[in-house]
Amino acid sequence: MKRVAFIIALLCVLSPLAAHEGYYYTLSLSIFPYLSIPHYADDIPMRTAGGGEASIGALGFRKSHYDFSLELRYRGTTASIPHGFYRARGFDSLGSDLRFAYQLKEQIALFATVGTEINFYRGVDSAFASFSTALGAEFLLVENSFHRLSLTVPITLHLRKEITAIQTAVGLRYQYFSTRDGR
Amino acid sequence: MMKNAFLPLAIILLSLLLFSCELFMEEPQAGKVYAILVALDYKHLTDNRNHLDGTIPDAKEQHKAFAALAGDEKYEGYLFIQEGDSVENSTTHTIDGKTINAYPSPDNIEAAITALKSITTEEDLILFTFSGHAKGGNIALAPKSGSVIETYEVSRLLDLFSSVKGRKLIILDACETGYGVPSDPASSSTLLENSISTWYSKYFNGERSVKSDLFVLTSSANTDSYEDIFNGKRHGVFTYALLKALGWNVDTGTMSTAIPPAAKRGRLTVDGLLSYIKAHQTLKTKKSLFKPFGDIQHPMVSGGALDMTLFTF
Repeated sequence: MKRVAFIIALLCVLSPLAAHEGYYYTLSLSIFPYLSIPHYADDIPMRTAGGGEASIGALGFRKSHYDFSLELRYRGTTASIPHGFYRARGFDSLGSDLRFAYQLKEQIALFATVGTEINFYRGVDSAFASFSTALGAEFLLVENSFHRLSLTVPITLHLRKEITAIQTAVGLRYQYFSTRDGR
Repeated sequence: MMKNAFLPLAIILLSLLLFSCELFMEEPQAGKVYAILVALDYKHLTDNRNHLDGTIPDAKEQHKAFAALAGDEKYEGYLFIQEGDSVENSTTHTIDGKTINAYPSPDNIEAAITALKSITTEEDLILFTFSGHAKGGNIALAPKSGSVIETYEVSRLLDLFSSVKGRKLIILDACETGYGVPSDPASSSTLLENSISTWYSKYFNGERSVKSDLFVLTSSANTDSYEDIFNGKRHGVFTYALLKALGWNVDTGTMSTAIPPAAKRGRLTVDGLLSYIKAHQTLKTKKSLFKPFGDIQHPMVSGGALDMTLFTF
């Protein structure tokens, strides 16, 4: 609890930085199929599920071609399609990501994230830690001085202890710049 | 710009569809259902604080409910009962040609499990239920002789079952049985190990995961388990909810012809049973700010990435 309180306090202290030029707030939403490849022997090579993700960022900074942000993330993954006598359990995840983006062209950027999360299996009172990393492209849809909306297409690796999962998401990313021409 | 995005999207979605193994690979057919049902009322003990009235009805009604779910021709059930003052049982079971007395002593239970090893297949479902006393992960079986309670480690029971072919579900309705649930190499019970540092240390501890076909479902985690009276009939709080989850009507002693209420999309799974029991048992599962007093009983299931199907409809 002390660590959680420390992180919240740190965010509260650092958030006012967003008033400066180039800083922004962000909200991202995405949906994805979820392919889990087990490290143990299973009846089938991989199990298929789906899910959705929402991220918020109070600490984002954009300068020239570069973009950094620290984001808090919720991810919900469904149980897999049943096959044989088993199905993969669904779970909810809470975590955080560091995100870096580079603007290739006016409307296209590439981005990468690294993060970690705690995952809670639904209904069975069981939890596990994991790590995530993603690579993706971001396509600008609309923008003005304060707002920016992009379509994102990331491929994420969810690195669980007993499973490596691939997510291929489609999402929207909204950025709000608190100062005009902050971009 | 949208044209640029369409191509990668289409490729990704198409490739995912092709990789969905569940849609293309053949599924195995379910085999027979075997059940060992153990219940003790401990009335052979002089201290009547140990006596339990709901355990034997629990086992007998689970026996009927499982038989109805599996279909009589695909079901083999063996009741091991200690009832009243008696420290013996005149009934015997024949499993794989071996005659085993139905008195629930450790020797008889072990003999029954060992006999199952040679007759089950990977497609079979093997159920073991226990209704009685337990403490700290050890269940109280009947004595070989005399009247002293013998405790038996659940881990030893699970070791025996691990070499039996098929899917196994161990159902324990007794106090503190959550301590008997085996630890999963990758995940932790939030009821017993609720700490972020524990969850991260599991990630790095090097213990390898294997696909488990042995699941444990218990009535409680680290608390007592209780009995209660339901329409004049005494049952374990957990087992009463379990029977309802299976579609068994305790009042009439009959099985519903409908799909069991705990089944979802035509499948009755271990997690489905747990969810139904947590939502429908008469005791609350945890204390809260607004309900800080009274007994609680939190059912628990073994961890891991997979849920196991018991019956399909």
